[in-house]
Amino acid sequence: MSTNDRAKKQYQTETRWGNTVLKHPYIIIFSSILLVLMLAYGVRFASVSSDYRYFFGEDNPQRVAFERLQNVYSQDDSVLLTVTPTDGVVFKPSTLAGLDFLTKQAWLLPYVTRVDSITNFQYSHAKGDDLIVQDLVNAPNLNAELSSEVLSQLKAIALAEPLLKNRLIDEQASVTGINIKMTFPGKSPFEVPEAAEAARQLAQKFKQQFPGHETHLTGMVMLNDAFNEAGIRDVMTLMPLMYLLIAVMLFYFLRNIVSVFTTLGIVILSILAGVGFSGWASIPITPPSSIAPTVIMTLAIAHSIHILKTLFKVMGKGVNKNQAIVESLKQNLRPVFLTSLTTIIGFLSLNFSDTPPFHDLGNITAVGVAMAFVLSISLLPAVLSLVKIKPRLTKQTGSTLVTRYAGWLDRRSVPIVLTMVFVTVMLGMQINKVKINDQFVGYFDNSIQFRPDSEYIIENLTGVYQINFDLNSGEPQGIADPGYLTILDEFAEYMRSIRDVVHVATLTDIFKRLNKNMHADDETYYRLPEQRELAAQYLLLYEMSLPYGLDLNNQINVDKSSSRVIVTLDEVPTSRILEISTLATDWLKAHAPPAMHAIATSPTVMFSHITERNIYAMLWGTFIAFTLITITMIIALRSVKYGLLSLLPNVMPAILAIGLWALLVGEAGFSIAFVASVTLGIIVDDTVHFLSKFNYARNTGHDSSSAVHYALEHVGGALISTSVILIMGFSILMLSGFKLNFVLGALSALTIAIALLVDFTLLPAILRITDKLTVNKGVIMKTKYATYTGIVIISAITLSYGLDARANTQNPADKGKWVAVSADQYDSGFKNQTAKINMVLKNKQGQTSERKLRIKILEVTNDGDKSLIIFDTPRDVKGTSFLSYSHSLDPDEQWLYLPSLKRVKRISTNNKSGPFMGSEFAYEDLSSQEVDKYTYLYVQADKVLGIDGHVIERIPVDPNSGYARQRVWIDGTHWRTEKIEYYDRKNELLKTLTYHGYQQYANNKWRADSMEMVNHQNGKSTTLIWKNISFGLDVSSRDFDRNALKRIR
Amino acid sequence: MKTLVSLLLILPSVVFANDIPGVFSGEIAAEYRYFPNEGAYDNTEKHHGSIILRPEYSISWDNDRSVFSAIPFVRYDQQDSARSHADMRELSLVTSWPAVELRFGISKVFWGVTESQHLVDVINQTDLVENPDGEEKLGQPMISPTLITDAGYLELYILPFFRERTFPGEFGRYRGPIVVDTDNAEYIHPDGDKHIDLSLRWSTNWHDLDWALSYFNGTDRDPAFRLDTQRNLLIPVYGQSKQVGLELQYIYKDWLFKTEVLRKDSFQYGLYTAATVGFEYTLTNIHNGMDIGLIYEWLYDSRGEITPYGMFDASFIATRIAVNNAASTEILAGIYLDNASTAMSVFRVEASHRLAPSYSLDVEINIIGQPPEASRLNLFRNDDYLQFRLSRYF
Repeated sequence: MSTNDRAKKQYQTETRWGNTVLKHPYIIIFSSILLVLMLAYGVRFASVSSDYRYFFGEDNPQRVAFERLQNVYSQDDSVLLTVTPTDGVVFKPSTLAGLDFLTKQAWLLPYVTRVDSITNFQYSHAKGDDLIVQDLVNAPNLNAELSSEVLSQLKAIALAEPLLKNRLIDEQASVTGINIKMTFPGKSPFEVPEAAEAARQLAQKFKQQFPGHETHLTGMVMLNDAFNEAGIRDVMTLMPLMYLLIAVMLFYFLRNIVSVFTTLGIVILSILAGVGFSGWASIPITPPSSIAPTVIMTLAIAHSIHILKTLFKVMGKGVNKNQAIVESLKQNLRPVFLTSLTTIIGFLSLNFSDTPPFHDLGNITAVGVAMAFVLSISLLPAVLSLVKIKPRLTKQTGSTLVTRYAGWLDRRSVPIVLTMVFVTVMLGMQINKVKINDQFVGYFDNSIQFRPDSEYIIENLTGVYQINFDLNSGEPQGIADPGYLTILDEFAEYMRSIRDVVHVATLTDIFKRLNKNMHADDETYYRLPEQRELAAQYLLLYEMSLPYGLDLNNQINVDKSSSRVIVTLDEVPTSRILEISTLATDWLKAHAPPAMHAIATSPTVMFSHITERNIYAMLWGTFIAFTLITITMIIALRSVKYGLLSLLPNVMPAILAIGLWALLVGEAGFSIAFVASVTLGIIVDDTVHFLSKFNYARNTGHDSSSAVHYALEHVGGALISTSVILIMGFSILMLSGFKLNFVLGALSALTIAIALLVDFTLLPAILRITDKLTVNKGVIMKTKYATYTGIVIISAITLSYGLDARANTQNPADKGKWVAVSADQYDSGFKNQTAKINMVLKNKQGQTSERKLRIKILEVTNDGDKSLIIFDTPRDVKGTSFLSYSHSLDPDEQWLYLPSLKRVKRISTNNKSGPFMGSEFAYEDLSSQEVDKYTYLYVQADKVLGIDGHVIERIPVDPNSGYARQRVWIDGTHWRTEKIEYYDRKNELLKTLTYHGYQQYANNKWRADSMEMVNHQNGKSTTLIWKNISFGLDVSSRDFDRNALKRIR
Repeated sequence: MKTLVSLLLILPSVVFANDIPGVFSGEIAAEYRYFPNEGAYDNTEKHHGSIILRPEYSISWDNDRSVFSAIPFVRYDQQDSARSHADMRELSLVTSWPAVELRFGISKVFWGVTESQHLVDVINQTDLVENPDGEEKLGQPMISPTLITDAGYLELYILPFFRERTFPGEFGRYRGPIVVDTDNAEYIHPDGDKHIDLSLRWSTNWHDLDWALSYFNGTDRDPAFRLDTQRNLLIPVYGQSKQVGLELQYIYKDWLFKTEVLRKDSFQYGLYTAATVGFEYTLTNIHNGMDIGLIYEWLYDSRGEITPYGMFDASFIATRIAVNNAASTEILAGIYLDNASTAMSVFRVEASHRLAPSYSLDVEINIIGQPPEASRLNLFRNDDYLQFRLSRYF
């Protein structure tokens, strides 16, 4: 059989279908619309989901853990309503009366189970031998004139209470919050919006009755409502925009009213089918699935355009309309079917995701795309056959351009391939630089009230990201056990010391307060009760005094075997949340009995794991989609070679797009995991169209060069126009107020754009090269190309590794590093520090000389600190200043300012082992001790000044260090460095540094009063005596630039 | 004279008054210069004594973001009345906002990276009577805003008053056969010393590469001279000049690579180019923390023979020794060689040592060798000296 015969036979089905459509247009129109309407009927069952839990699969381990916690304690869905008096004073009669009103009214909100505010806070105190427990601010109290004395007393009580401070009241007592807990029966999807709306109305009512107050709302209920709002808003705002855009685009590309309306009709019907399907399948609308109509619309249009463009082209050659319709179907049926199939496969692969809303997006889109296919090969030609279409003579303007372009491709195929391979490998290596952040506040933009409100609350009152630890004592009533309580207290203290922790709620604070109350409010008894019976009794007494709804069930379980610690975090990326969770679990493993080894749970933790889980899940999904699509291609093109070749232009765009994103934007939410599979099904279309045209041409006797030309000429225009439509369609998603949709839209648009580029450059170039190879069978050529490619790939990888080399850090597996990291963590967050230092140099004979310095230190997150040292004496060097930027991986940068010459000199930092100002401290001893500057060994656990501690050894990474190693003693409770032994390059003990007089400052950080460095080899010593240490001043990076160095006196 | 002496006696006691905010400090020093040879031009005295007072007051507020400082300076020289002089080294207010710093008043600014000469450093006039090395500068009135950006510092200088260079008098050393008459300086520009000079400088660093570009347009700091035949005096004539300067410094391990390039259009010499290119290598912590720096710089000037000090193709080889001890002992010794003749032009040693917490001793040696015939240095061939300076800081 000749190739021509085969081609004829191959296209028989298409021709027959075309003729059928032309014969029975009305039947086709009627039955296709009926089919759609049946599906669309499901719209009436469509519902909305407003539960963040729906983002997690039923068997998601973090969800399971959290639900278990919620079963033990009360449910955690709450509204945090904050009140800001405009005059910044909470403790005044009008505001307190307002809070009292709010607290009482909040009880009337739907589904409410508990209300906590500063007014109904159960304040316990002693009256003689009795324990009095009552509302901190009660109504009788309010009716009476509140004297300023009483008010300041109330303020002092509230601010001294660890349960309230930084949770329901800020440190200045200028913002306060009311926490309203709700338990939803889960029977209707409208429960949450109803409760959220009621809370908003309450806030509104409050503001009317008590003018001079601002309110903000956050909490899990408001988050759920925000998901709901974002989903609905996306449907409401994106869809009309989309329609407008599509209409404009269609007019531009088709310039024919009838075909525009037919296409729009197909689009609407496809969407109806998709949404109707979601109703039938009882899929709720969520922000991710709410973009399905937009995606369907984009894809449906692409199909119609292919068919219509061919039609016009054929008619433009003078063929009559009906023949043109048959011809168009003949040419397009197969590719349109293929593209629909691959798109459907791509979207169905979203079912591998760990996040059900994305399953929904995939399934709805798949149905819509299937419908769009059916309609564009039935309804579209049927309608077209009935209406009048004026033939337009197509101008052949593009053809010289196409010829020239094809010629260029032909000549430059090898460089094109090598360039693309290089760029792909380079960008591919960047992918791991994408920073994933799934802070759920950041999912929304400012148009959704939840975001600005939450940010306000984070800024002014407390955090919204919480993690829970369910600490089990291992026995009923065990929470009264002093051993348990001690560890619980230490754990809470440890958590409080970690940077970014805003608030820690723990039972031990209540116990301490009760113990104090029971000892006639004696402050010295503000500590844990020492006997178990006593503790149990206190608790019982207290619980009996608590009114209905304010019991301790949210902190203690029913048989009193466990209690929970709630840690509230500042505005931090999810990676940091995971880090803090790990620190906490590590601490528990190191310090607590096995029963207490809790893991962190909370919605925040669930969201922090969502990316990782989705990426792993989608790796499989994407792989399977690729495999299926490649198999489809092989079958469709009837060529293993072209099928496999199609992989390249299908895989590369997603890699390039994500790599580019990593370089340019850097941060993304977990929806990045879906980009590859969503776009795969779409970009395959370009490849399919190109390859089937190329194949058609090859089968009809063209050689590869002219087949490329033929394919470019016949599908080039259509590919560009569909790609433009797709890019614009996905770009519209960037207007979504929901970050996941934004990222998905932006990345998909980028991927499609790159795919077009790849299909126009790499694909034809590869086709040419492989063809040449098969024609020539040239082994030499093959080896040559293989060598080229190898060199390019290797150089790209080396280059990227070169760029990355510094960023690679070691695995923090060993315990020595754990100690160093813990100490670093414990001390981090001091922000800035200023102090005066007396440096006392003592020589072998015991003669001393003194110099006075001032120092400013600025903490730099994720890098070494900046410090500025100014000399006051000796007087001859007065005003000499030393500015240093230490870096954790790069060499430090140092400048010296000489006041007499007004000259700033850059100093070589290789001189780190040299003495600082003639003292026994080397520059490197004074620069900030970043974790990455050393490698670590754990030596032993040791008593450090009678306290349990650790001895580690650290080996400087920098070859210019003056030390072979340092041995460091760190106490295990406060992670303070107590002693360091320095061993010189010959590994002999050179110096010993001891820290004396540690004091804890207001920000919980410990600082030694003096540091004594003794040099064992020359008998000299230097003592640094620190004075006037203060933190948190108005000092920022601008006080550490080189102009500041010149300015300072 | 009497007032000066009484001032010297009174000031320190004022300085120690504690009830004034801000910080008083300063230096009082006695200096002795010994010239082994008699001067060539009737300035035959070999022993030159001086007293220097440099009190300092500064006050800063808003976390050192605003600083006011005042540094008057007075020298009384036993031999040379022109060297006895007073100057306001600093009387300035510097204040800063997040992106802008403003310097207002009399101040001093240093530009440059090299050690042998400071080509691009143009803002302040040289106080030549202080030291022939030209490193001492007079205070310059200025209004200078600096824009601080992530891409570097952009400094603008508006310099409303011009300071004339000081020159040794009749009994001073380091002068030529004819004394310079500093009281009757002439200006080419009609605005005279009221001409407002403008300057711009952009400095930044890119990893280990520091660089700066500067532009200056105004009265040339370097005067030409007109011979007043009637009085047999040299009259300094100040013209206008424009210059563009480039400073580069690259730090690599223990190496500092330095370059300064100057392109200047002066009324006296026309358009010319000068450059200093070199490096400083530091051997660190070699013995109990001692650092030894080795410096080489090549000095180039397109003016050739007529370059004032004859350094148009010269080398500077020096060593800097910092003992890093409690007394902060430091020595800098350097030699300027003429590349064509390999003859030594100048040999200089500067050493300092702290004797006690508030006392330090500086020693300076300056020897003129065989500079090129046409150079100004050749006029000073009899002026080798050894100097001791004992300072008390308060």
